[in-house]
Amino acid sequence: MKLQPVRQFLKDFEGGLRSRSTGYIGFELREMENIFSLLLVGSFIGIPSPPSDISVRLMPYIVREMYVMGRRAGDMDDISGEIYGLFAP
Amino acid sequence: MGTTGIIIIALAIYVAVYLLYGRRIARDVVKIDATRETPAHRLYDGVDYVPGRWPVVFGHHFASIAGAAPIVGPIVALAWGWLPCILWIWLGNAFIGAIHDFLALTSSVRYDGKSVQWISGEVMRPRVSFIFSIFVYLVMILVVAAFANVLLGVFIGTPAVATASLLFIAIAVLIGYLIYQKKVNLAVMTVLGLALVAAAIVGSVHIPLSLSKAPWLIIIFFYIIIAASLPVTRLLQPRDYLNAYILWFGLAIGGIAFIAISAPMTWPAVTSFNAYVLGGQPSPFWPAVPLVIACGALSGFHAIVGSGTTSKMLDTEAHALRIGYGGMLTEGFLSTIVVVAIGAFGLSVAGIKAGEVGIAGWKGFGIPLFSQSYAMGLNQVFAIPIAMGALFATLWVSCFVLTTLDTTNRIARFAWVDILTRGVRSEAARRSPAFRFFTYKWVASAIAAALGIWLATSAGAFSALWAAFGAGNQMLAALALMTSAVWVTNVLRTGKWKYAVLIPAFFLWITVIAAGIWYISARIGSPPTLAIVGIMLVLAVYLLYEVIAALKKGPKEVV
Repeated sequence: MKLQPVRQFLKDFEGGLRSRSTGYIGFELREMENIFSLLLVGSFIGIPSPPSDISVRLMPYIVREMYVMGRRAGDMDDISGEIYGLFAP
Repeated sequence: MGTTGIIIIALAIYVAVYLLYGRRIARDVVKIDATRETPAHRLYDGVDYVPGRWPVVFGHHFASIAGAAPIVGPIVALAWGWLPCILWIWLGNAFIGAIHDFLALTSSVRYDGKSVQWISGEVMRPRVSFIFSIFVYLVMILVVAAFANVLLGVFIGTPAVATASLLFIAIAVLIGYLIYQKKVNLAVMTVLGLALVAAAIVGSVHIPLSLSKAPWLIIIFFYIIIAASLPVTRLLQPRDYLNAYILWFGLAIGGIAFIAISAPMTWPAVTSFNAYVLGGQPSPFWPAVPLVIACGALSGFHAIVGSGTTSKMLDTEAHALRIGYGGMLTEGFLSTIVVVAIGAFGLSVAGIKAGEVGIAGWKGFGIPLFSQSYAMGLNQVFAIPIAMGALFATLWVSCFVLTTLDTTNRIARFAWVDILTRGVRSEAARRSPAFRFFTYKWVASAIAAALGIWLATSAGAFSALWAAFGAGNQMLAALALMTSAVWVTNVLRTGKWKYAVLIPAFFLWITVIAAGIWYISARIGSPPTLAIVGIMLVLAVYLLYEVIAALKKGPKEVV
């Protein structure tokens, strides 16, 4: 019973050690999400596909992606810092 | 004094420093407030900003900062004797390295998870951020050179490790393929991957791969370019995943073994202030020591990790101390284990007498000095055969070196593009074929790899190249700590406690500048290495000008 916190710590710590490698996947996934979002709502900024009415109909389903994309656009002045942090030796 | 005594002293010092000094810094300098929302909550998006339980964040942070350098540095530095090495590790950890990491993390938390590079441009001038990228690029070239050299020494010195390392890469690619392409269960693949790694270690003893220097350099050159340009799921990610288990296993059994054995320290405690450490020349302990024991005491890379990634995962500011400050102390503990292992068994491994350490003609020993010593410790406690233990320890180092080469080349590529993009302002020039050619990922990777391998072949003694890498790393740390010093002084306005940051920042800057000047004047490295160190020195001097200008300019608004 008393060992439970120790076990939980070790489990979390070990999970944390692995999370650096899964972070790489997360980064690539985020980039793909960016591209996907841009494709879906691209008609608003001049990318011709898909048509605007389809984008509008899809919008309720991509609220989170649009929020994340908007925030990331604001963070573009720190993109190299983020990449250095991810891959730092 | 025995190994157990030193490890207990190390633990006591770390606990005392953490409780008495670290907490004071957190309270009086940064004014940690557990009720203040962290970016992980304030900007939560389920993607970039996600709060994590502190052991998870700690594990992530530690896996990101721990590599081969805290092992390699002490191996070289032990020519001064184990006592000055261990003192530099402990004091460097407590008063510079851990503060550096902690402040990089907390300043990033206060700036919405921005990187230390961005913060340097914010608290000083934007051009400092540009200098940061140039520093990063130059350091990455030196990292490629130094770590390619380490790998070369390991592969030529221990051919079985070359086989094991190549098998390890093949296993990682196979595991990645089965997980991502064939959707095989992760737990099954983890067990299979670790079983295959164990089999590779055992089997490699019977099929050593012996090649000379030139073929290995060509292989490493192409490996760096290809590995750094592949999608992360093909090699980097599955290998890092398996690496985590090796690190975890190596630390756990090594820690237990060297606490339990209580072997006497036979390596000389002190040799000479001017021992023959770097490039076969008398090397003054101060200012040269930070060039050698880089990451074990303090490291500029930690600021990059802490500020870019860890800060976005912090659940509460109260966790910053144990993750930022505590993470550095944990890495220092890893270096302590390396010093203790070699201190106890190094002389018998090297087959030398105590009086022969660090004298004229000293060329030092490579990774085998650590791996054999580590294996002897495991043998005494767990009865693991020395050959197997040494192979495991060498594979541990080589896996980290391979990952470092891969990730370093990726960073060098990004930094190269960042520098060119910031340097070339005209849109027309950016659209030119030449610009597009030089920023193309394969070309950018090849340039960094070629420069690194060229340095590796032309640098002469390994220790000379290692010291150049150390110089770059420590100058990066000075840049990050100076940024934190300006933040603490101008933004937080912490009164007299600002000196707890300003003093180590200026001490580090002076030490690194003095070391760089000594490195160049003593001609420790080859001409290209000296040139890179020279450029970094000039940039570091310019940085001081920016820091003084920012400090004179006075306080900014509190963030």
